[in-house]
Amino acid sequence: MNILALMIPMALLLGFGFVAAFLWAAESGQFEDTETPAHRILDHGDDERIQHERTH
Amino acid sequence: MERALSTACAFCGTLTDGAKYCCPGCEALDGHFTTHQSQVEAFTYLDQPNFRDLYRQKSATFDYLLYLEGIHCSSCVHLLEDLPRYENSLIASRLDFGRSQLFLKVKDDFSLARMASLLTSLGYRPHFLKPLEPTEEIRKKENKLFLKKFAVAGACAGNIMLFSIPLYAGLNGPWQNIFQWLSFLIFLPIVFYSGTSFYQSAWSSLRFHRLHIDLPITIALWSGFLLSTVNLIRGHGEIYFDSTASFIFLILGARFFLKRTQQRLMAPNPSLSEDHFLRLNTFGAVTISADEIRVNDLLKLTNGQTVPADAVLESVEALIDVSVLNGEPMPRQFAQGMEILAGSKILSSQALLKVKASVQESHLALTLQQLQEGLWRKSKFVTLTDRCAQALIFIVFAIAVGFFVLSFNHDPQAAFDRALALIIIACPCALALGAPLTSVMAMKKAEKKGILVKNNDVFERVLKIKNIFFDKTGTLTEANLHLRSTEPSLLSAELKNALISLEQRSQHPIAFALRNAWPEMIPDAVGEWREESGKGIYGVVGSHIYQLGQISDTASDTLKLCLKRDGQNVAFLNFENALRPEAQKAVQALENKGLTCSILSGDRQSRVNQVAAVCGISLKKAHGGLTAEEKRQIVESSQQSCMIGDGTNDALSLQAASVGIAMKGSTAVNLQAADVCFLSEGLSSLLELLEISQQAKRVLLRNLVFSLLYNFIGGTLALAGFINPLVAAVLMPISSALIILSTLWGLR
Repeated sequence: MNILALMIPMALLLGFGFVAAFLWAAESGQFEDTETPAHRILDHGDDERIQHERTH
Repeated sequence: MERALSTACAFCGTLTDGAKYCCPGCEALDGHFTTHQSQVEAFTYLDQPNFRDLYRQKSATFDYLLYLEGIHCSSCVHLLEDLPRYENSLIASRLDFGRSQLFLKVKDDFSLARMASLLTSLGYRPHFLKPLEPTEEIRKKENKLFLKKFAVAGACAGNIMLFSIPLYAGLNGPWQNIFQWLSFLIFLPIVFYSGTSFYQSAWSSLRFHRLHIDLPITIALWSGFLLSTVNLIRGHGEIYFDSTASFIFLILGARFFLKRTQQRLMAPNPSLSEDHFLRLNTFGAVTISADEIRVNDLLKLTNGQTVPADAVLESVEALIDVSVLNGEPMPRQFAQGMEILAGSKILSSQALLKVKASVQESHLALTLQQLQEGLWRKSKFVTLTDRCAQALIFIVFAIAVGFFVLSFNHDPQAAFDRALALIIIACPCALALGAPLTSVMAMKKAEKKGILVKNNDVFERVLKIKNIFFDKTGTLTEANLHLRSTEPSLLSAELKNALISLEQRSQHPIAFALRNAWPEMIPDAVGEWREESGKGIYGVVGSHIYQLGQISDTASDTLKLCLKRDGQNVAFLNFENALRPEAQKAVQALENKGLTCSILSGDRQSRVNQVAAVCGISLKKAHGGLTAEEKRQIVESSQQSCMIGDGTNDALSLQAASVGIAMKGSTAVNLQAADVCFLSEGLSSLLELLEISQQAKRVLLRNLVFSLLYNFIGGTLALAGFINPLVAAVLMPISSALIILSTLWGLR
């Protein structure tokens, strides 16, 4: 049973670590726009059809 | 007219309506990135200091915010976020795809005009937005806070559950105590952070003697917390941390989704009206924003512009569309010196106006102000849920206190434990969960059918309606003029072309009717175009001189135009403001349901009577020639009323009615004042709204009956001493799951 003395703090730390991460993400506005990132990841950056030089 | 739907976009492959590319983003990314500087002139006013300040955002992360029309697919995201590559004065550009908003971080040499013309040449329609209202900012912050409270409640409830399972499984000895204290610690954030949203409204419900569902929730939360803590310290007795935590989590969850849905549906569309006006002075002309308009300013407005403030006409005459103000479908000829109210639309090629009242004191602003003052009116509605919660609180507390007093002599400890267990178990959890969930599902269902419901108690109010008031123009009749017939019945392509060409730049209802009637015609250049009051318009198309003029007066319900070629009559055109095809059926269906239908219109009584006769509305209930204020009085004097309209003159009555409905194509003021907005053309949505409301009510009643039954059985068990934490931990989630399933099934 003594292993519990190690596991419980670890489990709580892990669990509330994620809560803290979520709170940070919410605070920094990551849930305000949940649609655009899905488009952003489809970047055509490596598509050679796109002209990359400045046009003016 | 129908184009093939099979063409795929040459860049991203999505289907298009026959064009090579699906959107400007794809066209530009496919190597057709061209910028035309020719359009910069149209936007130069944007670079004046007054406009730069007006649109400058007060944010650390972006300087300007634009609303773009024409956002379509991923390519738009890449193109627009790649703009700093093409425009040196940009530091960064971020797009919010869902809201079609572009956030720009810029250098000092940034030119708004160049940006606007760049975006225009890419194929978007840019609108610079003013900084957010403070209330918007507060709303955003509240949303964030609510999300965090919800997340914390979820994490805590889950972790408490983990420590409770070993306890239920029979954990003994020192670990039992440690696990219970851990549950206590993890419960603290729920009481002091997540639960705080309930306390405020529970407190105000006590102060204003208007019971709200949050009061019993708060009582259950605190009695669960205190009873468990006391028992924990005493070392024996029941502990309810787990079930209390999970019901708080579930209720917060249901509220969160209701809030999300409501805000998504209510999200105000940025006002896209052009916000710049030409002010004339002795030195020439300057472009100013609406905020800068002062009394006695001389404004030069052009075709299609909306009059920003009450003014007097300085030009000799002008054709002005006042339909949003009084419901009159045909534009009116105004003469010099006549007063023009804010919100009217100029149809002449240009008009000079002298401002008589500032924007804030104008007719339109006063209407808005009256709307603001009337906001409290609707908050008086008490929902079925709140009434049930009220009854439940009285009954549960009466029983708990009665039980405690009666069995106190017998066994004080057991009496206290059981009375508190009753309060915890009888928390109207099912009620608190079922009601918002029903609203969310009903709102979503309505949205799918093109009905925006802005407030969740609308569904209950809709079912109480006894009187329905229709606006005439744009509600019972089509909003637009319609070409009914021509003489000869088939016009040659040459004549059609001449008509379309003559009217190509016009915002007059006739011009729209012609474009709608012959969408395939492409206008040609017109020479020597001119407008003569009372005679119509002249122009040279091809090798002929054409004249288009009106031959019947506006009093009759149809409008007849005559087209002359080189002085000879060649065609007659008949226009009418047609009744909506479904109007008669809709009115009949409503009358059959026992509702009384009436017409409230600003238009002439004779035309109102005509529409009433066709729809089957008795002439006694057809009111014409009403002002906005008179409309409001009629609506207000009748109980349980519903008003449907589209013009600014309906806004006050929309708010005064217990349910106000804005038709598709309503003015901004109207959309704001209404509780419900129709997104699809026509009146059939009204019947659908009734249908959905009835469904929602059935589901809500089922949920209520179930939760009362659950409370009754649970309460009896608690008093009899059969409820222990394990039973509560099993019963509560089961009841919640049943409520959720019943709601999803009932409004599928």
